[in-house]
Amino acid sequence: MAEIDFGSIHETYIRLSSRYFGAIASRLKDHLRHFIEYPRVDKISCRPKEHNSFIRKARQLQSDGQPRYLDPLRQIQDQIGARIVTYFKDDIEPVQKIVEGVYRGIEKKLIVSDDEKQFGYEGVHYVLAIPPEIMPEPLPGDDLPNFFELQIKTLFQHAWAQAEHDITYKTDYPWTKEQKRRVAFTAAQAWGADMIFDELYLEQKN
Amino acid sequence: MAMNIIRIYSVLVPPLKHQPAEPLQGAEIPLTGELYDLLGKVFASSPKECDIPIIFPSTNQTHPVRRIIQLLVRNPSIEVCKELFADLAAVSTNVSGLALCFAIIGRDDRKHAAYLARFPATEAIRTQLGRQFRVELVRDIYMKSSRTYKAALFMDTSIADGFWTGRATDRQINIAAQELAQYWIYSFLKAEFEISSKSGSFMIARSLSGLINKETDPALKQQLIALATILPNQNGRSISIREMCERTRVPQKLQTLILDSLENKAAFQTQFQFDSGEFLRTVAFRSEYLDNGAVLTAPSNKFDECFRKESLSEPERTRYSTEGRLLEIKIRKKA
Repeated sequence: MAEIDFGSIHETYIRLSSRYFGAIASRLKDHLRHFIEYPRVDKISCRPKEHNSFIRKARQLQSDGQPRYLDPLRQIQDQIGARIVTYFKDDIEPVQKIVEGVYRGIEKKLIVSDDEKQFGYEGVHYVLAIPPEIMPEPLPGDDLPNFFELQIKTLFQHAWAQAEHDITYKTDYPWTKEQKRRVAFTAAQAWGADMIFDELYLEQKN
Repeated sequence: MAMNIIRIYSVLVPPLKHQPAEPLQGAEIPLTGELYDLLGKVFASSPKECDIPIIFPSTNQTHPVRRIIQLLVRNPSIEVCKELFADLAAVSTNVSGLALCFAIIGRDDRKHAAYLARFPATEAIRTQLGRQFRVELVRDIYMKSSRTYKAALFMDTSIADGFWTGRATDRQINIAAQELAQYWIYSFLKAEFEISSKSGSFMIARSLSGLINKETDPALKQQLIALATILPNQNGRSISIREMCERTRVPQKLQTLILDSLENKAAFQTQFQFDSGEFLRTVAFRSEYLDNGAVLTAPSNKFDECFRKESLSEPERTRYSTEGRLLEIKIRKKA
């Protein structure tokens, strides 16, 4: 198997990102804001994947030691990432309906722990086509990504994921079992807060 | 750089929608001779001819038709080609009729390509071809119907990770775009227009409302408003902005303004299903400003019903009149 030239991939990513991705992300944010006219949306954001984050993902290995991505510039589908943060869990489904009525998708996942005794990351993730009408026209030879990743989360899911990502994902720090349990505890608290706020919201609404 | 043709296959596709499946007849076409030359020209012009962007929708990163196309590009064979066109036979009715289909596999130094085309054939052909699928007969059938076809082109640098999008066309005479969408795009390819109904309608709405707001030439502004007023009549139609302009006889100067206002110029020619509800959400109201300080506002699709206009004898002067029950008075701060 030919060796993957990460240096060249990184250079290409930086070039494409600086030339096009900022414009795509900005237009996409406007596009999402137009369509997601929903009262309890806290925030809609959109950004290109940061260079180092991209190359770190591009270098990921599978459990058998083989590269996870043979063609990272084509295979990594969150080079442009968008996020919609809602107040309550009950708001997620109506927002999903709007999204599915506007955007063409190739993946939809509800990310939640399979084990009922575990707490961790939660959210709805989509891989959606970047609307062609907002795509800049690329120079010859520049292949732009066709897709972006959209996450839909509640405020608590988002707050937990941001904090957890910051302290556990980006560092090589050797987390102990007890520390991991404390992280899981915070996830359980976020889950509980979401559930109670959702119940209160529905009680008040009905 | 021109695409090289690697393989060409031809398959006779009977209408089997309400009938049991049957083995399809087909053969590989040699890469020499008159038929090859003719198909080579069709293939070379396909990036220009196929002008309707389509996408294979999925919720789990798989799609049955995309999978067969990928297989056909990776390991071309008549068996895979028959498997692909069996799906077309399964959605073809007697109205769609018998068809001669081609799959052309090609590539250049960067991209792989699969081109699929469907030409109408007559039942007499089936008798002629009998059990032996002869290339000379294929050529004759092709010559008879080469101007009326449906096609789709898929091109990508990566076979494994690409081929999610393609472009389709219909060169059949007197056929509505909606029919192409139903039979060729939705039923056979199980694809959708790449620009969604809401997204496309927002694109033209945003373009027109932006132009109406900033245009200073009164004549052009009036034409833009007229266009915004009549467009909701196109509700439900599969149409591109270019076609909208042509149908409503928009002058070339205005078409150029609209084209220039789009973030992606190629989207001007791209078909989508027009949604007047979404359009009116953006181009919701029309205001006309008079030199005496009056501003007349009404829903853009009802403005002419709300206000009666009379041209006065003095040049460029108009009298507006309206009547109704007063519901509310709003006072807005000066900007």
